[in-house]
Amino acid sequence: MRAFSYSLFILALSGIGLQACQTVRPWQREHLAKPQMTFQEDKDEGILEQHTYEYREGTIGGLGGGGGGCGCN
Amino acid sequence: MQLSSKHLLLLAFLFLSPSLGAEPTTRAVVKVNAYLDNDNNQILTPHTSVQSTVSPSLSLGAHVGVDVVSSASIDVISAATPIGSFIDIRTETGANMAYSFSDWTLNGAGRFSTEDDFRSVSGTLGVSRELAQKNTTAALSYSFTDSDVGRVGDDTFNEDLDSHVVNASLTQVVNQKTLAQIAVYAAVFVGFQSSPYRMVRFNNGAASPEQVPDDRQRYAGVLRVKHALSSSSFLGADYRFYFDTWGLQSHMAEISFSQQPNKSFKWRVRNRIYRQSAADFYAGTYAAPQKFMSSDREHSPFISDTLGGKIAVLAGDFWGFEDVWFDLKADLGWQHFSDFDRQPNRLMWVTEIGMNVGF
Repeated sequence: MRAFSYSLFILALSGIGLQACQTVRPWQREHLAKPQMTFQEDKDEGILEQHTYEYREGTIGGLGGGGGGCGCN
Repeated sequence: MQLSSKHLLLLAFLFLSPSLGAEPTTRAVVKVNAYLDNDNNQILTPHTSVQSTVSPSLSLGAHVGVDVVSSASIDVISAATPIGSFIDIRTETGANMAYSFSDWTLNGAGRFSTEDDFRSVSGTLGVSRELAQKNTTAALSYSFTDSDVGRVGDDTFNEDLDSHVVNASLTQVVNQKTLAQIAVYAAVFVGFQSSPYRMVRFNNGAASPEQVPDDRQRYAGVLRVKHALSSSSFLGADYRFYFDTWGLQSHMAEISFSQQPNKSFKWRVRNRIYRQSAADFYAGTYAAPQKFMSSDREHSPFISDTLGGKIAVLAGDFWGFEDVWFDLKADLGWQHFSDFDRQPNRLMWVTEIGMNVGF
């Protein structure tokens, strides 16, 4: 129940945030077009990093990245 | 007619060749990642990938990676068949494609990995759509992974593990300087999820193999924000909440700052904090046998903090290529296990060097 409440809280917060959004035209995207403004600027770094976290932590998911192997050694 | 490996290589070359298609761009990446910790684990991971925009609507990519693992950790020393240390090599290959038309993008990926006691094949299919004059992107994907679990030195040991994963995300342009994303992850893992080697200990000194449930449903919700402070300085913030049917919950938060003061240099610093609860059946030691038992520290309660930095330098004209970046990354991590007496603290050091070539 607590987990479900957390999920609802995140969704509600996101919904409130979306209400404040502006329509941004293509010629207004100088900052948004920078590579640093993507959520995975270095895809290969992300794959290697998530692979490490998958084996060193008990939880996964939601942030992209690869995997494979059980890491159970 | 059967396709030989020569035919496949020729096809891959034709698709990835920058001389074909309309204004193609190709990026090749080589990285070497080194992981060390104070539990006698060393992992060296060479990784290479190539990604090519073959035409305005088609993108293809492939990657190969190898993990060379050397370990003498307390997990190995306390395993069912203690050998003191081991060296293992894991190889992963994968390919991906994306095809765009109108406001839609279809994508697919496949991956195969193998090591001495584990083999895994997975496939992913996804779709995304641009909405609201490209201010909103909705994406949905499904992955299936089939794994075979073995045990070194025991040819009769063969277990199966399947996973089904759904990812959904909504990325929104908030204003001219801010981008936000919400994502949901849901997964079902069915099959053998214990370690073939790990033992649990009882108060009287006896030991027994680890036993965890065959079913695990895992869920995560993620909120991510990127904000441009100026045309050269950027802030990033991520938060993830995770829970599963084994009783494990976690919170992860990361904040990053990056800057590109000129065209040929950029740098980043970041901090990631993480906290998780224990699985319902976890115990450091058991008073009596139970249906499910695990003394895996990754199922125990712990907190973690990772501090890291990265620099990237544009090399200019390098071996005839004009767009060559070199990067260097270093992360220092600390984990504190409040219910794992054998090693309450783990220090981890990750170094990564990379080269990214565009042509």
